[in-house]
Amino acid sequence: MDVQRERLVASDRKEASRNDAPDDTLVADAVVYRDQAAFGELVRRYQGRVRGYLVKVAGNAALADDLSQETFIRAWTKLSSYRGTGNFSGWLMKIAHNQFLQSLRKGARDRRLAESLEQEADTTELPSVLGGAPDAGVSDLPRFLAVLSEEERSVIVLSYACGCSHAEIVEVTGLPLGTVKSHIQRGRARVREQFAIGEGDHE
Amino acid sequence: MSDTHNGDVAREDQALRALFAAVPEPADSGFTDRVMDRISTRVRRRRLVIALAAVLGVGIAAWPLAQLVVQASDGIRALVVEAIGVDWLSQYRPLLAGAVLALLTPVLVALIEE
Repeated sequence: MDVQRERLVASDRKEASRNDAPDDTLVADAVVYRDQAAFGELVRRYQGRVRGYLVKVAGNAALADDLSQETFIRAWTKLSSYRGTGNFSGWLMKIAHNQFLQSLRKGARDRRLAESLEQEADTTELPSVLGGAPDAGVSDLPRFLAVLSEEERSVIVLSYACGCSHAEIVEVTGLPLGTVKSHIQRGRARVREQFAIGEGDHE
Repeated sequence: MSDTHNGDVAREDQALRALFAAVPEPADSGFTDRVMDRISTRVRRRRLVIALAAVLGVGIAAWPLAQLVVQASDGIRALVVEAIGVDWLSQYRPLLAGAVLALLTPVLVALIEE
């Protein structure tokens, strides 16, 4: 019994130390030892950021959840390719962004398929993967995001929701710095047109 | 750039941040467990596939590999006999074959894993 209790205490201590461990330690354990528990802790820490990003750019909670799961599974399978240059969060966001782009391509394929089926069978309109109504009850955000292009949306969300610097956005999206800056400017302009944000402050 | 323009940009930035801050990050609600369950299943499946591939590979390659090892050890023995004139290697032939297989095994396993 004592041995069992000691094992339980040791396991609790290990879990507690894992919860307090810095990201670098967890990443090292996950990369070198393929430690699932360490990776689980990383998932717990970053799921909010990844899901938050994807739900805003995809505009659909269910799709964002699927893409987030795929993001973390892909991260697990690609762990050996993580070189430790830049932060883990940036690496993860890059995978999330790529998952989003893939879903867009797949969405376009699905839409084309839906259109051809519609022509053939004259059926009712199939819902598109990304064209569904955004989640209700989250202020003006979905309405604002809906007026942006996918690329602009990604850049704006990374900048204002995730707090990424321009350099980090370049790393995540692979876009040139000039394009990132112009997307942000255009996003600001659109927000001015659509919502007159900041107008009240001028008075 | 004028001070007025910079002030406008700062206000717009602030307004945009406030717009996003109004939507909190999603709570975990079992998400981590779902991801880790899927990863565990993948890991188990991968191990099973590797084990099956190894068994299948050994099954397919056993006979040609044994032939190859015998041929190689015969060649080495012939070289040694030619070089030093003593046929002492023939009594160690099973040992030599085992050593060659032991050296090849990690390479084969690494290849299968890749």
